[in-house]
Amino acid sequence: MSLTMIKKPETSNRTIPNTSKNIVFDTDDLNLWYGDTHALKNINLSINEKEVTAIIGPSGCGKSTFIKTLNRMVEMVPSVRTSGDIKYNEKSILEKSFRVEELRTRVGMVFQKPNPFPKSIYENVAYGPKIHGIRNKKVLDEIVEKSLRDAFIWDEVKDRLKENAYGLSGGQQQRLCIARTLAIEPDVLLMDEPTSALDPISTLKVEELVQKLKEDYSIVIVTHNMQQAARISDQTAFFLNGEVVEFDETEKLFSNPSDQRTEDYITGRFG
Amino acid sequence: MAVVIPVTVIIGIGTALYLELYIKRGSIQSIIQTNIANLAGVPSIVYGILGLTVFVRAMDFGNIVLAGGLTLSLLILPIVIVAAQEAVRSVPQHLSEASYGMGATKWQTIRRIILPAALPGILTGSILALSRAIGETAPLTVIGIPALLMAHPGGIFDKFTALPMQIYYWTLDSSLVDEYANLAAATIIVLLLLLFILNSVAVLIRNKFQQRL
Repeated sequence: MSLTMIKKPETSNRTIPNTSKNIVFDTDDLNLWYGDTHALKNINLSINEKEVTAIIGPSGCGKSTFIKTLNRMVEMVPSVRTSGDIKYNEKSILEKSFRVEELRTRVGMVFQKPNPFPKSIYENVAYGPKIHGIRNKKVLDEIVEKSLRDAFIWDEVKDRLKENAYGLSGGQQQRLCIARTLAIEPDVLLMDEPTSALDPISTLKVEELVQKLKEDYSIVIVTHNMQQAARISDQTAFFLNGEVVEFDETEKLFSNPSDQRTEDYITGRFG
Repeated sequence: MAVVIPVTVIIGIGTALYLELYIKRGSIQSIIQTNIANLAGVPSIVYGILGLTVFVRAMDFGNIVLAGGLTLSLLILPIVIVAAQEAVRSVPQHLSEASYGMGATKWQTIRRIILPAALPGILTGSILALSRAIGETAPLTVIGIPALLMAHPGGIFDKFTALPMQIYYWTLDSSLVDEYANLAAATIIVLLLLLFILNSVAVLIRNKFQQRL
């Protein structure tokens, strides 16, 4: 579980798209190993505030690992080592002194499989505020309603808040999980293939939701689905074998990729 | 019972949580794990002798409820620990991930997510272990508790006897007094009923919570 910081003297091949936006996450020569497996290699990415950044790439290329590093969830795996630096709003988050609980309160995460708690819909959304010390019933009620509204699921569940969340459909569960994450009022939303377990209609709803949420949140979304990345993101990073092959404006990356491997991937020649 | 339940449940759950969620995987962890598994298989008479040495003699409790309860606790503790570990392990990882992902600390996650989800498993395991303790005779014989039917013990420092002990002595003496055989038979029925009820409760709890998940 220990994160050892080793400064590597390698030169950085920084790829910053030319924008004037505020940067919320900035990684500097980020490397990560699972035991002996080198999973992330010299990642230099800047993630803009209030935009959607998509991470695409074939399975096992490190894209999930990358976003799990952004809220340090990757530490749940024993034998993980990292080097390099990640700055979140100018602060280095890989340092031991940085409290992960605080980081994860600011950087919420939605997982691949909908994972509501085996509790009522209300309790699911109220969980985050409760662990952060909010006890007042009225305040909780307001947070729950606002979060569910923001996740476009309020109308479907408002009459059954006390029912178990497992009674919802997969798509509803995923939007509930998004509401649950919104309830802790994060700045950044990390989404790890949030639609891969959903049907097309639920997927569409989540995509619309992402479009809406980027007005208030910075979103990093990992996706298998290139059309999805093209539809919803502003920036796209293409990962291959733990490296960032190309990182650019989504439009440019899909219409005029500068790397042959990117072109091969997005035209479906492999992956 | 008043001694056995709190002792085993508290120590059992604590040990299980420690072994599952806190200890580093390694040689120490595997040694403890193997030992607990082995202890679960040690004959109860051995625990009786241990109880006699430690609680009755060394700590000088005498043959009171506390000494008997602690001895029986030792006997079923490994079973409770293994059952609780199994229950904690079977809580899906994605639930605790979701909790950690929202900035919950380890303890908050354990208390609000892992323990509630593991509770039915822990309860079932504990009740089954408890029903084993109720039927145990050997360790109590060794501790030397009296076979006389006497006044109901008022507290944990009083002398006591146990249902299986009554059965044992009444059966032994049934050649002397005929009525003892009837008494033994009646006691057996009471004991079996008690076990039956406990085990039913365990099954009911399991069924009730399984539906929820």
